[in-house]
Amino acid sequence: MIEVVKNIIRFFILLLLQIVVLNNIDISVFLSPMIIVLFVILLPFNTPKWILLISTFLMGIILDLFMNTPGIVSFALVFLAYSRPVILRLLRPREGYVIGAIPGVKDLGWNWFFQYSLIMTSFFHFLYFMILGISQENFLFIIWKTIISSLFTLLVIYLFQLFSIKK
Amino acid sequence: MKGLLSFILKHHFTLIFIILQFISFVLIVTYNHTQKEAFINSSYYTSGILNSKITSISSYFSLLEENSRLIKENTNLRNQFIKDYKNRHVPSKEILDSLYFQNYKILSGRVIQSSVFKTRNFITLDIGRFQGVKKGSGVICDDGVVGIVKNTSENYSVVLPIINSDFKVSCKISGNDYYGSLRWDAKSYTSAILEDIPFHVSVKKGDSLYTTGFSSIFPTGELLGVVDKVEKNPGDNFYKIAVKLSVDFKQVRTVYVVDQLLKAELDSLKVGIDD
Repeated sequence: MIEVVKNIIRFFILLLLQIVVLNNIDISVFLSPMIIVLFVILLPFNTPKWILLISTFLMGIILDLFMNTPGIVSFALVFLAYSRPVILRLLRPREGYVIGAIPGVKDLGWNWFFQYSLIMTSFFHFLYFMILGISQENFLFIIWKTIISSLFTLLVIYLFQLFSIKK
Repeated sequence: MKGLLSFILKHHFTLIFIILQFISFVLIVTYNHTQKEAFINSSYYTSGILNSKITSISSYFSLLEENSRLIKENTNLRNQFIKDYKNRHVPSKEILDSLYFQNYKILSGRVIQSSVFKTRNFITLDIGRFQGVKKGSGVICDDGVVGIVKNTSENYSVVLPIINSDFKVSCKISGNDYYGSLRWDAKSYTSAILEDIPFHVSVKKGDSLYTTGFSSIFPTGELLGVVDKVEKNPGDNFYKIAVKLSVDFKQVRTVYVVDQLLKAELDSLKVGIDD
């Protein structure tokens, strides 16, 4: 129960952070980090699949309204949510996942989380920039945008994880 | 029936996924390509309030510069006053009396939020429907064209600037009056690309580009930018012309929304042709 409340709070805090802070970063064409990806990353393993999809869709649509890009963030985010079980299966440790665990550093360690967050974050950014710049930008430009924005997002994600471990 | 139910239950993950992706896809194709389409209105109200709170503090830092700019702009406007009026009767009679009626109505607004480094940049203004802003009006500042009003709420409006990959406007070259279409290259907020100019037209670096006034969004002859580089693509009949935009989108604070009062008349005339 407390995990549900935690995730709902995370939902709103990440949205607020994205809208108020990260969307106003206007330093370079290459830098538009999407911290909301952390919500999909940290949803517990036993989250019902329909909740996984519906909640990410909601988050995407709300963000789309604020960014004037109807459908684009939600498309990429729902796609990421749908591929999450596949990515988790690929990264499964030999002894399997503990029931009731959260895919974070606390339960699975830094080594595992580095791989997991790297795949999720860069996959999402790639999808997002791809749909955003489709037929207008060249592929190399999209790749560079993906790399730089993902690195920045990952940095923020690791800071959050450090904070959550200390607590 | 039972089989169908168990099928839905078994594959609900994929089914919901397909439904949600379909919704997103429809949203993307419906709203992201033309400037005519409307967005969902209510969100602008909340995002407008939020953005004006965030930027109200930062606007104090540029007050001094902004004031001197306004004084310059005011004197400019006084000089150009007659340009915004249209002759009602015979143009040869130059009498400043009831012969003129207003063609362009100009509203001034302040930028409360803007971005320059995204693929889809937008500018939010602190004036909206109540102040008389209409969807589809042109937005200019003293340096040149800024963009087109994309949507309005009661007290805010969102502008689609030149530096948005959805923007396109027709423009003519100062020397020869050939016209092409200008679009953003999505790389830098200072440059754009001019297309559809055929090879036989002479274009030099330094030529100015002005609005044509065809679309009745902008008045004729508003500055858009200056030709920066002219390239000939082999296998193509048109130049690829790099343009340096005249407006510094990072510094835009005060803008003017241009509402053409005769637009409805002009549009109804065009509708008549289609029938």
